[in-house]
Amino acid sequence: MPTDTKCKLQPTPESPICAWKATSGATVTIQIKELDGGGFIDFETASYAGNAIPGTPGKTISFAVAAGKNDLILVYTFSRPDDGHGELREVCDQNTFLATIRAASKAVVFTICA
Amino acid sequence: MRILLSTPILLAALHAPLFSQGASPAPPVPAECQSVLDDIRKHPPEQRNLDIADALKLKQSGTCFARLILERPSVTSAGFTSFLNKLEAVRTDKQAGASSGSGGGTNLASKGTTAGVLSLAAESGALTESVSQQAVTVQGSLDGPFVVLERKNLIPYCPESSTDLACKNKSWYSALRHFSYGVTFNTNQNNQTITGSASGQPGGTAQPVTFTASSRQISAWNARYIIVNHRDDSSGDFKKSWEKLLGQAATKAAAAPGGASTTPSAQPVSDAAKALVLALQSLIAAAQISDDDYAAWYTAAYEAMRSVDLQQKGALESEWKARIDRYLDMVEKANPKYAGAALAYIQAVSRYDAEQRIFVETIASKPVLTLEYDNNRPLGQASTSTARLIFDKAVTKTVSLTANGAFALYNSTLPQNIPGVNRLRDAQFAVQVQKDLGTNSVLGAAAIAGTYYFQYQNSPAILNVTPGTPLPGITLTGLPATATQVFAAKGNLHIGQLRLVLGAGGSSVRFPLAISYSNRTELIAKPAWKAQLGISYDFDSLFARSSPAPAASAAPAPAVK
Repeated sequence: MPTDTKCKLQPTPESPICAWKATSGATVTIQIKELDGGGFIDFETASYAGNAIPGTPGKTISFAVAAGKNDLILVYTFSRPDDGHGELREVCDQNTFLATIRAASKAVVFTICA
Repeated sequence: MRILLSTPILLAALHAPLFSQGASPAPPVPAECQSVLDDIRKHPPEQRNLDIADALKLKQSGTCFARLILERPSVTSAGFTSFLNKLEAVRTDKQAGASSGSGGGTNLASKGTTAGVLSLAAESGALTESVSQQAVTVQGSLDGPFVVLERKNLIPYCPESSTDLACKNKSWYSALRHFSYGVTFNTNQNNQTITGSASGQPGGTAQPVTFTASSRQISAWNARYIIVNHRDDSSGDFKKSWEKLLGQAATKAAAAPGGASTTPSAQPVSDAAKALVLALQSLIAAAQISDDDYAAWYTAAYEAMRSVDLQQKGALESEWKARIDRYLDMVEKANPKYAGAALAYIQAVSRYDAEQRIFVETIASKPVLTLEYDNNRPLGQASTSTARLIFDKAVTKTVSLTANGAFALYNSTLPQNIPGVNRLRDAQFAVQVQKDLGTNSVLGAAAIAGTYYFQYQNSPAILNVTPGTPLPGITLTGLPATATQVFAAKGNLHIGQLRLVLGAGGSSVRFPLAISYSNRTELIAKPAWKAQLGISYDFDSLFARSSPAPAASAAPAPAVK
């Protein structure tokens, strides 16, 4: 849990490009929330703005938001590869819901605009 | 001027409802896309908009979009989807050596499963037999070759639950997972005997002879069917193993590039994930359209999706499909060769799916009940058929119990002048307790097993003899010239065995060493101490190294079976 508990990612589904908006330079921590019946899920690999994010495989990753539009690339691994599911949330005081994790979409790209 | 006039028309067209809600049936939607649409319907309102974004943004649902591209008429007519034949693949957990009773084996009790692709075992010794033999056993599963082809991307993967049209009529693939086979070759130098009979008048000191050969190079074969499988993919033990192996794959990839990989290992999953990222990036790049066109399309589609009446059956699917078709029209126009990237992505995700399933099955699924048929064809003896029921159960995390019950029949009718002769040759029972000793840097994976074996000898063991021709390893004296079969006094067998299996570092080589004590053998009615040893190699790890990612790594040594 980061010391600064304020949420930094704001989902923007209405934006054609940006999945989330954030402030440049902020350190963001996101985590996988496993749900009943959804099996175990880990980040298998993760990269942001072209750089690998350490800590994978694992359920939590942290990175510093870069200026501009940058892609966060996530690959999930599922103990239930056919129908596993969970949630992607920010580790912060509001525990912001960021996206649904589905076994049908094992590799995803989120564009973060800052 | 033409642009100015057409822009409002274009915007109006983008924003207009594409389907009169409730008027049209739901169009067919790929399963990967349907799961996103289902989430829109069932998730609370605060999450719904994010699910709508997932349904419309290619980057966030790459598999769905790749499937949609490959299902477009312009693509199917070009023959791209001919690759979409898929299959189900899995499992490991192995017995590499000969089955119990086939001669030359080291294990008194048979285990439920064999190698996923192929294993080879060379063993020497004797258990119930009186003469030690050398045998080489090849074992594998019927689905093994398909796993290899899938890893090479020559055929895609078809999950059991898939509703994809390409997976229709592919249910037999999943049935293959239940079947395995084994063939045991007798490698004794004297496993072939040649008999010569005078066949004509001698010419001086020369005598014409007709030679006949008698050999049993294949000394046994078997077929297995897993009747009951136990799957545990939700317990704490499973979770611990799963995360430990995933973590080891990541750290060892960095620490020891180029090292050998073994099963169970998450390394193939890790390699397939890297390939998947590259394929997704290529797909996104190949499906670019102008920012303005995309923004106009997305804004209109997003609002249209938000206004769909979710209670109306098929309305969501109809609106979404119409919007996506419009988007894909634009993509196709701007990128005529986008189907190639979609196909490459589906192949990459197919491989990643398969590797995940193999990995999960390796640590989650264990056979509980297996039926085995053995056809034993020992040299110099009547051939037999054995039906065996194999029960496997993990007692604790490191201790497993295996029990066998079997009966053997002679394959042909025997002469009735042998006292006590019966088609039912014997009945067998074996129980084995195995303790995994873990892995260390010197011995690799190690396990020790204690086994008790009982054989009720209903009919005496019979040897076929040819006058003047010795049986390998057996010398008969005082035999009448007319004797063609000999038999021993029958008696029940009790055998106890202590068996140690050693690995070699992180490799897939195994060295079984065993010592056994029996009250008698099938031929000799005296107690005997015997030793058995062997070596086996599991080729699964070799085939698993076909990944394109550069970093292969050492992984934890597999559990000893």
